Amino acid sequence: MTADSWARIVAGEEAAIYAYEVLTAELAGEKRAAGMDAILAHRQARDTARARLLEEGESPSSPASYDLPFPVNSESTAVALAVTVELRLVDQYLSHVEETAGAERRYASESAQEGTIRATRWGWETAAFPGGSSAPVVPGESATSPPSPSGTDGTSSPASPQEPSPPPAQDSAPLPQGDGATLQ
Amino acid sequence: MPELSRRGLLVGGAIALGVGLAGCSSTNLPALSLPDPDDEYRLSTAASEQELIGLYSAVIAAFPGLARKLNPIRQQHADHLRAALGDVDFSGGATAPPKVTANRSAALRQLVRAERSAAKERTNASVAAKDGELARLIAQIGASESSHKVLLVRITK
Repeated sequence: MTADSWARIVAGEEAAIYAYEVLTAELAGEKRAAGMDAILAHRQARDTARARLLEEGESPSSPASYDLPFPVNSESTAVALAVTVELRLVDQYLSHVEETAGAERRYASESAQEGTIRATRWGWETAAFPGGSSAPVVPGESATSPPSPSGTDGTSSPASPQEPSPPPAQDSAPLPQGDGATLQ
Repeated sequence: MPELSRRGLLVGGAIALGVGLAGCSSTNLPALSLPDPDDEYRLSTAASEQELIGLYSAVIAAFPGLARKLNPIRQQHADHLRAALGDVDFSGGATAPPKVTANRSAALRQLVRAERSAAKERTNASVAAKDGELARLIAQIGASESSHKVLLVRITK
């Protein structure tokens, strides 16, 4: 059902906005700006999906609260959550590709591409088949993509003393992808 | 009539099959698997992936210092090719090695352009595909290729 699929997109975008509002508070400088940009992008996507849902004769409902998959209390956990949120939405848009056709499918495909682009800017190392279910993101492991010397990075503040230090840069190992199961 | 698998059913095979069917009576047709119209999108995606693999190989050959960063991306394209084909036979064909510029950052930009164009092709093929699962797979491949652009730009800097 197209309406069900749009309803899931609305819910996914709502959850993404919530997560980004939480995680952006942990960021500074260019990363904070990137978080704000992502909030705007996800609001726009939420509004698009909501409008389509209304056209289908359904009314969107938003849950009162969300459970984040792990606590966000540092820059590294904030970035890990951003990656998790994006890949979770990529999966939802890919499901939307499967369940729709024509212009709706095109929109979903392009939205999935925007999601992997944002995830990669957050430090995700890409995958051949993004958005598939895999190991959930675990704080301290998934959060440790080292800041890259470009893009949204360059303003990383020093890790606080209680944080584990990031591992050395890995060029090929993809970060674990969150299944975002608790981010509903 | 021997059982035909989809394997090896390319355009020539499809025509031969059509001729064979014309000779059959309209009743009690053997259970044939006719070529899937979506095979076109499997094959065009595979051909495009093959070109990308060739381009990555040429850039790696010209700039061995990039191998460590580009090999994993090239491997993802090999995974794309295999997944896009499914059980459809693909001869691939020998293509001339692509020309690579002598300038390292220009070569990387060449890869960025190829990835961008590939991602657009994937969206078009995804929209054209009849089968939803194949549409999803091709869109997923395009989403992977979009992320490659970001990685390549990072390497360029």
